[in-house]
Amino acid sequence: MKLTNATLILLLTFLLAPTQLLASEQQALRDVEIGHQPEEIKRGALVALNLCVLCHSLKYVKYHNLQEIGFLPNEIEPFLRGREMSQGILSSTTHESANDLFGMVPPDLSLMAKARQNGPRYIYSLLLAYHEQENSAIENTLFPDVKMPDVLGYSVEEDETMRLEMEQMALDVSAFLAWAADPRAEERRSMGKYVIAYLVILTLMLYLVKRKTWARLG
Amino acid sequence: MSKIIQWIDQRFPLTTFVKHDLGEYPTPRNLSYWWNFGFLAGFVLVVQIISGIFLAMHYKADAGLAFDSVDHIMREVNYGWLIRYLHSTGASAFFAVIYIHMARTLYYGSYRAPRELMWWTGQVLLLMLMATAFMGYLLPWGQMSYWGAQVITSLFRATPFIGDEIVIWLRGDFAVGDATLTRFYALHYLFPFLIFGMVMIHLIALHYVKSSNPSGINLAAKDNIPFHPYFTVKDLYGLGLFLIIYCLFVFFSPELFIEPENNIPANPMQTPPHIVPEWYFLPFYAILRSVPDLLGGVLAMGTSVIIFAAMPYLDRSKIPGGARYRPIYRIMFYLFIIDVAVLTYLGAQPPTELLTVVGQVATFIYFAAFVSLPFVSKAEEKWLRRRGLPPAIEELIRCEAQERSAKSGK
Amino acid sequence: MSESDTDTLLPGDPERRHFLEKTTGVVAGAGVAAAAWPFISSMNPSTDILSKATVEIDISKIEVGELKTVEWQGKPIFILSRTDEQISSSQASMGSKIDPQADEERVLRPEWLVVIGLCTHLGCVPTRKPEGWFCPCHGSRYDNSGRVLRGPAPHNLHLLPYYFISDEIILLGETKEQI
Repeated sequence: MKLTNATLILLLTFLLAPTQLLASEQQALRDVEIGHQPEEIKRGALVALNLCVLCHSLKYVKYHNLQEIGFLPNEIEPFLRGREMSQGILSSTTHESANDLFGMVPPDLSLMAKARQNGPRYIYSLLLAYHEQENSAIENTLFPDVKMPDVLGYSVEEDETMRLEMEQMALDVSAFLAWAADPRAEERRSMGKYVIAYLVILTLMLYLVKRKTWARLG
Repeated sequence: MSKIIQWIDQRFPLTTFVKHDLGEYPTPRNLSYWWNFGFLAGFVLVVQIISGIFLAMHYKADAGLAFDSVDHIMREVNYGWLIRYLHSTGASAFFAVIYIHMARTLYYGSYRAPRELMWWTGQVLLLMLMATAFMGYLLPWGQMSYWGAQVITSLFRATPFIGDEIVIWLRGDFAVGDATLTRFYALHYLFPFLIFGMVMIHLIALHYVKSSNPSGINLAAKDNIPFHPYFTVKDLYGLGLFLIIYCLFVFFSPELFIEPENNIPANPMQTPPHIVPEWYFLPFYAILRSVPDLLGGVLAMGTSVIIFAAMPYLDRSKIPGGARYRPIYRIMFYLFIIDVAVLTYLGAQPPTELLTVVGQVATFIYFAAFVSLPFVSKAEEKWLRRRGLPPAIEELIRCEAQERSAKSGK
Repeated sequence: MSESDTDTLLPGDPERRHFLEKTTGVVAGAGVAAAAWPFISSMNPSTDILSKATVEIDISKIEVGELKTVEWQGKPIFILSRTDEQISSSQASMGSKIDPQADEERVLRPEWLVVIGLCTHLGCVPTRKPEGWFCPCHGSRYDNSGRVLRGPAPHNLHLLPYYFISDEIILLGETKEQI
């Protein structure tokens, strides 16, 4: 049938786009499902605000945006450190001192989950990719040149419960950063369902009208 | 109401136009769904213009503000994320639809007389679309935006004698910078309206020579039906199918068309590890990379786009119906499509020695298809005539001849 | 092919035949209308602007008799700490015939007058005078309750929603009931 051909080709041409994705090296990312649940995101936000924000900024995420993931205004206040609710989240370290420490300014994290292939999974894997070498130096196997130290202490932790806890923290942070990079994702997906449902009905009706109209020609 | 229309009709051919070009416009009844894509392209153009104008209300064309303003659109403008994703996905949709539209023209030989001007205005539209897409891609001012523009403007260095001056003139700066961004923005806003005008010319030409059809010959009046309601409803049904696919991408996978690197603000001091153009430029990019010499590469890339214009002269067969009745041309068509797919794949790969060789072979096949076409099409025609054409097509040619003689008899 | 031709060509009830077309038209039209909404909505203030719709003002530093002008939603807001004399004279009158209003209706606490500092005529910012305000553009006069005394201004200076968070801080942009 001609029509299925045309639709198929349109779909295929459109799908050519991901050839770019194939192009990039497939890194050895940990196989994990990053959550979308508000409580995971909020837990991750607390880790981020207590830990990540020591060095990194999240300048496109404003303090009052945290209310969207279940924070109450008085829960946000301790993190404000003199800034307004309508300002972006800045790091506690100034650019100068960060530069002194690491030789670079730690990257802003607002869009990090979209700035890497499989961003949230990448962040999760990166946080847990630290290993202690024989000379007791700590190396990140996913990103060997990374300047960030093993903030979770995963590489030297031997206690299994603690390790599981750290893995959970990494998972929560990834969920939070995924939200931070794309806060409208939930709205988008839920709206998308209605849009597609509507379009399917409309297209079906148009098909019936088309069939009836063309039936006149015999 | 009828009085108002009457008043207008005395001064402007409104009713005549609606009747002649929208209502009763005679259209071959055998058009398949492949003939929907021109209408779809027009629809996507309108979507792009509307979403673009609303984005422009919030976007700031300033190297210091551009990235932030796009983020502002995504997070804070009401439905800004939707409008931006419609626009960024729309760009890919536009190329997808246009490439299918072109492939249909090639397959059915619709470029042949008397439709050369349709083909050529279409060719101009493709070039304008490419320019618009390229300039629009700089505007988010991410890493891939910046380095894409840097690389492509650098290609003009291949211009003999004044290469460097041309590059600086294009950028308005020694490297891509604020001046480049502002002018790209100005032109990116202008071009769609030029495209719109060119589409009008394309349509005037269409309504003069009428649509081609899968049989490849002009059909007698009895096989033409009024555009409305038959093709309005058929086009709308096709549009519904298109919108389902388009919206699936917009709502569920919009980042597929935005390189991850482009979520990092432009940094003139650091090139991303791997620069990839948008998917719709990949085959041409692969051709560029296959030629070791800069000028040669640029010429090859330019030629690979423009060479389509020569099709009405390269294809010397008089057998109607394009690939449908021409087995050898059909094989060539499919080989060409596969070759383009291979080039698309190669364009996205980091260059390795093996892939470079594969790319050169694919580039050779790409051009060989065009260069050999005059000889192949002539030989194929001779062979087909000697063998005898299939009865269906003989019948069609007879009909065509009858129609012609009836016309000249008048 | 005209409408009558098709009617005779097709078996069945023409009424029913048109029902499908009409329904499809309505469904499609509703979709187009719905699709227009995101675009219209995008021109409304974005969330970052809306988040600045309220402002907290510290009024503890304002001396009695002093006027402080602050910005709220892009407009100048007059915050006047009124003297006892200004309060009593304001309460004694209803303003002028142009827009009579009791002072009690214009303030939450008599010692504080909070009004939008734009002349109700054509939107100039009136200048402070001891007896009230004077608009330099067309000469309108207002008293210490912000009520118009002399035209061409047609109304008293407009009020805005606000409330006292404490004796020191007021919040512009919301009334207490809204919270």
